[in-house]
Amino acid sequence: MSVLESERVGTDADAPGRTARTEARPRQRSQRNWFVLFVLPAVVLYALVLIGPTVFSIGVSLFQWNGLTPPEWRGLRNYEILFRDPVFLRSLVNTLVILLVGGAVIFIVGFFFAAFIRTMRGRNFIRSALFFPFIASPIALSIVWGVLFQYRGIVNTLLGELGIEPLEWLSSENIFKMAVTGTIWVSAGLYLTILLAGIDQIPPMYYEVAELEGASAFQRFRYVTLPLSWDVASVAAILWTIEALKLFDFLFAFGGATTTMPPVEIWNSSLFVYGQTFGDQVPAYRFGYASASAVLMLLLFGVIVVLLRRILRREPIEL
Amino acid sequence: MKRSMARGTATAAALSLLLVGCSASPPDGSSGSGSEELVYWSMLTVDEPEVPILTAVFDEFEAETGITVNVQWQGRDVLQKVMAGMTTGNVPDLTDQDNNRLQGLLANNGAARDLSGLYERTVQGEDVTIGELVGDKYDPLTKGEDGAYFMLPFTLQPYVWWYNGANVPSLTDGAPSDWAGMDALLGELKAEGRAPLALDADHTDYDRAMVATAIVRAVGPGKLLEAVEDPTGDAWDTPEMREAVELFVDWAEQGFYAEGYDSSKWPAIQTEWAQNKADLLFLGGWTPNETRGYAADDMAYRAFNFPAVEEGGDTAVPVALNGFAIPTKAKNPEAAEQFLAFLYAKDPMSRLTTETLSLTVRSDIEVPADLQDIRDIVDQNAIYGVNDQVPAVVPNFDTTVFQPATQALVTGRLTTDEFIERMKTEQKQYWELNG
Repeated sequence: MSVLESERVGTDADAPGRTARTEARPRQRSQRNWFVLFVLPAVVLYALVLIGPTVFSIGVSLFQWNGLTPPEWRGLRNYEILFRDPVFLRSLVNTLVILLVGGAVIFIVGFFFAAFIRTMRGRNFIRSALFFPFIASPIALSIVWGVLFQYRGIVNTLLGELGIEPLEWLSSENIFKMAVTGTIWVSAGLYLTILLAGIDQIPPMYYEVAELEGASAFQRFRYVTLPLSWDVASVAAILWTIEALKLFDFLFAFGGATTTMPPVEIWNSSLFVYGQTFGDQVPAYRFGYASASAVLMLLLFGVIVVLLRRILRREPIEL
Repeated sequence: MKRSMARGTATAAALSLLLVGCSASPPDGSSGSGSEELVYWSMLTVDEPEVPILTAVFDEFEAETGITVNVQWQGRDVLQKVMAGMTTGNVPDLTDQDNNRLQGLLANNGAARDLSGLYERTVQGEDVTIGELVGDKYDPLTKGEDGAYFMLPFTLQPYVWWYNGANVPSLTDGAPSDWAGMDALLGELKAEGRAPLALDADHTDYDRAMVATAIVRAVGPGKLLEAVEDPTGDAWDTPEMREAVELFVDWAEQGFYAEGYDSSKWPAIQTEWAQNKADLLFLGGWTPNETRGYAADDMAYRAFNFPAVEEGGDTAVPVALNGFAIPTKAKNPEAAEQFLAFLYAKDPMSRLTTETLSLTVRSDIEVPADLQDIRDIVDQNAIYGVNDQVPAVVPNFDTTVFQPATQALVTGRLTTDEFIERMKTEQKQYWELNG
């Protein structure tokens, strides 16, 4: 029972007698004080490390500032420039591609695997194996991804054994596609695990009844799995949206070499912010401009998350 | 209850005080003992070969002067940490990086101390000043717009064509001196079934360095930077620029690069070069040090300067300097200068040159055979800042416009007209947005 609930229960119980109510007041006040004492550090911390910097970034986005010399007022000029900056627009498109294409693949593959391995023996092992990339360091995985697919890498060596000419997986034209594929590989395990957790809660009798009724595998998925795991899937979709916005380490390590930034072809919104501030050998230190891009992306993804919540909202189904 | 509340509050207050107390001590670990300690944030990481030698020098310096060097091996991002500390005053007394970053980050933001006095200081145990030792050759790269020295160069990285003298013995008799000779050489190597050029094209820094060097050969030192700063972008559309760009279109068309150069991860192709699977590698003076761990047994590091466009044309060497700077907010700059006068003595410089294969600014030190070619190239030619200083002066343009275009060029995705048009259009747009 929470502090608030105990407070409410206490008040109701004491309601008939004025004396009892008077006696209860000091206890309520004391409980309130404890409540404030426990909650205050979290609120202060949240305000300091999240709300404060966000408000600060919004303020900085209206200035031209390199972090050292006094900031110069720019008003909305940073935002105007962003909408005409081809590098930002490309980063924005890349972010949306990662969100939509990556998301579609992750959820299709996730549902497929989840439905497929639901009844398999050794499914815990498969689940762990698929989850593994998510717990490994994205930096290490990006190196593995490069080693696998570079020209004289493992994949081309295996293809060579089959008599297939080596493919240029990591050429400038393909690098973004490979980065998105790698991102899917790294992230899919988490969403598969979340979806599996939701599907595990579905009582087997629903599947048994559906089978008796002659439902095909797709129909069982369409009429049993999907509706009964919808809540979990919608939470996973929102988590993926946030992850797609924040994606940084895998792209940075996969596309970059030593201390250089990855090519602009694979920049997403996070890499754009980094590229405009601390990235590359001689950092640009354009904090105002970078903040404006971060604020825009925050707004855009805020809208996307709200829309997603509305689109995915369903009446809860009692199992 | 009141007592327990009070106890809780007191505990929270004590914890807060403890936290404040922790954060109040200097994060650099300095004891605040003033002139007895020198705080040095290095661009090196602790596993690099220079570290044991420098550590020995620190001990010798302390024995000689009583000043302890409190070093932090910060790595290549050291200046970002220095700049972050400039607002709070938590900066080292001494730091180091290359001239592009020292200029772009420290000097251009007024955060580098004028080192003119240091240049007048006598080298420890020698009858010569640091300025006399270094000479004025590097002044264009070590002086800011105000004419003050913002850095003291230490080692230099000339960008040259590297080859294995044992693998391409014909080159030791005479390297190409103009572009026609270079093309002929590449054609001959290709005809022999070899891979003439090694390039890790995913390393856009290397793509840009090679293209920028050719452009500077064609238009002259300082003119590439001028072209980049032209808000109309028209400066790209000249016969000289076209000639330089055409060189790379031709090399890609002829298939001079090692197979897979556009779809490998650095240092895959560099490794192939070191193992004699490709012949020429355009890279900085660090190449022997970086590749010797995996080089072929017969590796004999040889180098030649990027040829002039035509015989007798410009042959200035693109050079990056690594060196030291003292932040304006350094607490103990005198100790930093004293240390540098100690470090620049012949003995420590010789040890660094020999054991780490680093070319230093002291040209009176004997160099190992692997560095002899680049020593000669630097001594016999003028120098200029690699990439014509574009990354230092307009870093954002370099990252978002110039580097991507040069990568597209060397990987054969652009014709000469397309490259020129792309640079004109994107540069014009860049300056419209950022001018």
